[in-house]
Amino acid sequence: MYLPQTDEQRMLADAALRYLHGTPQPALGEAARLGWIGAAFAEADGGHGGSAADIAALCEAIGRAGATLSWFAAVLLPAMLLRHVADAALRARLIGACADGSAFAVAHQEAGTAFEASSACATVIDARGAVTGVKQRVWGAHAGSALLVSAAGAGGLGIALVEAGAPGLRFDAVHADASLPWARVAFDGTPARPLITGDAPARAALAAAADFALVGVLAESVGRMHAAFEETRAWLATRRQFGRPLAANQVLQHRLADMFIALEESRSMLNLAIHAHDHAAPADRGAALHAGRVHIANAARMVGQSAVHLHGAMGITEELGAARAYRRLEQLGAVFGGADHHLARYVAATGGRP
Amino acid sequence: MLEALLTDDDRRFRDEVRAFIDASVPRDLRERVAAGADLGKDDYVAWQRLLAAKGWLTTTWPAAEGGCDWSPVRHYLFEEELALADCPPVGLTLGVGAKLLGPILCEFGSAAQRARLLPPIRASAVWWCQGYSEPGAGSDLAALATRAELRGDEYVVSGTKIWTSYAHWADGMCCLVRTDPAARPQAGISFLLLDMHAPGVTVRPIAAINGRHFFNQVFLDEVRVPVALRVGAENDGWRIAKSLLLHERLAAARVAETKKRLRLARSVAERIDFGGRRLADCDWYRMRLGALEIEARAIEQTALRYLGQTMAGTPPGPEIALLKVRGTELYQRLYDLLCDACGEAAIPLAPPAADDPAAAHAFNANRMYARGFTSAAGSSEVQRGILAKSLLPA
Ligand SMILES: Cc1cc2nc3c(=O)[nH]c(=O)nc-3n(C[C@H](O)[C@H](O)[C@H](O)COP(=O)(O)OP(=O)(O)OC[C@H]3O[C@@H](n4cnc5c(N)ncnc54)[C@H](O)[C@@H]3O)c2cc1C
Repeated sequence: MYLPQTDEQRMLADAALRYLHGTPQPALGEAARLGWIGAAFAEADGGHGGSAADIAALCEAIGRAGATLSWFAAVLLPAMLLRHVADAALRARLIGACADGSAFAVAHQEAGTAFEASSACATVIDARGAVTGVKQRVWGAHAGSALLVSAAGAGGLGIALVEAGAPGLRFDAVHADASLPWARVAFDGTPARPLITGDAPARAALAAAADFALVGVLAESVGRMHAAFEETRAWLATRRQFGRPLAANQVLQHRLADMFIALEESRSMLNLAIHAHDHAAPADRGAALHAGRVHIANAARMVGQSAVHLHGAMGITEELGAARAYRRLEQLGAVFGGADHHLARYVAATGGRP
Repeated sequence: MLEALLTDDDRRFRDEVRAFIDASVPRDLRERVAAGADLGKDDYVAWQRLLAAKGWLTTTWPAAEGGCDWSPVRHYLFEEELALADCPPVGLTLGVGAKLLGPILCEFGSAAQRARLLPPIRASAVWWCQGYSEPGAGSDLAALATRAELRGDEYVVSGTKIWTSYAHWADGMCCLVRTDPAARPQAGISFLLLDMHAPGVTVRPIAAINGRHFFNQVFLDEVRVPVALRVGAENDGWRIAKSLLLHERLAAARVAETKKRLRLARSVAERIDFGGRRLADCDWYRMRLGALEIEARAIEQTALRYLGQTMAGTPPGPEIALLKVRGTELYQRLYDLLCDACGEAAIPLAPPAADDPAAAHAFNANRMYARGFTSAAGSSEVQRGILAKSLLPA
């Protein structure tokens, strides 16, 4: 679908791309100063964006630059939950903190399943606001993160705020790789402040957060695919074997053409997902996001694997950008459930009919 | 089918292999192999010595040199039993001495070279690496530029080798060098055995995307190699390097390695929750697994057909190249399935503290490694080129 970027989106993306080439892993405070976090909030909330189109422009630049920022976890999930806080003063205060670069993380996922708004929740919050339970996979969390925790109470599921270092909080860095870290967090009578109460609003906020973050993941994937494609294109022209450039071999020309096709279609499906996120009715929105996820995950694998293969042995080295891109694309293809997961949900959402 | 090719003697032999594995191979070693762990040199050497003690490290050599004189079927059977029982591999990468250099010496080496070099390989007392590829010579191996000049009774070798697997463990390198720069590329290459501890050898590790260390670049700066360590005649190295046992070409199909991973894809799915259901009960997963199983059978049955042909005295020709193409490509897709089965748990490369019942991080690390298999040892494009050339002669 044709979905041109606004001037603001283009400027944000260009500036981010330039900046990230010099500083691939800026701290959140720095990202805040550059105005990147504000893109996740609407003007009414003190931001300067807030749509999927806005954050996609930035996330695609992150992918293009090969930066190792887990934006979906550090910014997109918490931002969307905070936008759903009912108390206006509290919402303004927390959004302000988030936009200024304070660390937040969303503690929702339990027991190994993907992040789903509808998941069962064994973590509980009692009448005095104390949370007890274990969250297995808290993306991007570190010991200094404030946690937005889903917990079941008398009124059903709710979202509560647990400050960093609160009593009864145990934090295990499970997977500390800088690019996509997660932690397991245990709560034992930990004091918390309810932010979103009532089952339906809490589930709706979680679903919105997951969708918003997924668009960011898809956009980053497209950016990474683009970078891997361009690197491979340049390589085929320069690498010589048998006295001529690799690009002289028709089978490799066609492989590159297939990578290009996958990239082009992915861009279209990203636009569809962005547009559906920002404008479509809930039913169509779900189908478009699932479709985008399936298509982009499959295309990303094809592009990443081809980029690796066409570089020969160098394709599996850390030194090569396209190799790191492939590794990252597989990671991005797995968060929030992979292609198989979303294909099943796509078919369920559309009743098997297009 | 394999059974159809077996004699009663072969079946007794298979029982003997199984009994050996049960009695002699440490459980924990097999468990680590099954979990896809990154083994160290000590593990591989200990394993090779276990095989050596039984006379089974150098099976492909002639009996007179300490090999086994087995039929092709027996080699196949032996490798399959070891792989299915999660024994560590001894192939062209991790067993360069036993699987690559040994057979080359048996065929092309002098009596003095065989007497001096074969016994330490048989005992796994030395580690060899393969120094063929160079920055400018990959698929086009004949473009290699490492120069060896004869000075008196020594070659002086300068240049660089790259992608040299496990060079950091090696005592010696099978090194292809250019001895006649004026000749046609293939005609000016010699096969030297180079001491990795000699002055002038520098090994630079190359980090791989899976966080493991196997690759190296090796710099050779006026390294001296006695003429006595040239294998075959000067400028005859190309023929030697291109000689690969039929056994290794069949092994390129990776039949047993694939079977093992299909088994893994089944068992892992029992332990994985997919949206509230056991993954093993999800139709999409069963169908995907079933489809790969069928492809694996097609490769296996083709390998067995070629094996049967060989036993009947009419071994396959260039068509055998298809086994490497199909075997490596399927192997890679199987890792995609294993990682997809594990979902987010397959994101890390190193063991997380917990939350990983399937050892998914190792699936991820091995998946990344396996991406190299379609490039190494004659890429898929090169193999398809061999097929096409035989099908469409100029
Ligand atoms: C895991 C692994 C272990 C290895 N271990 C060793 C080792 O121990 N010792 C050693 O010497 N080497 C080793 N190698 C190197 C290996 O031999 C080379 O990777 C291989 O020869 C390919 O060369 P290259 O990597 O330079 O790729 P290139 O030759 O540059 O090829 C790049 C891409 O172009 C394609 N291509 C090249 N030429 C053509 C053509 N004419 N037509 C169509 N397509 C073409 C290739 O298929 C590939 O996809 C190892 C490689 C790997 C991946």
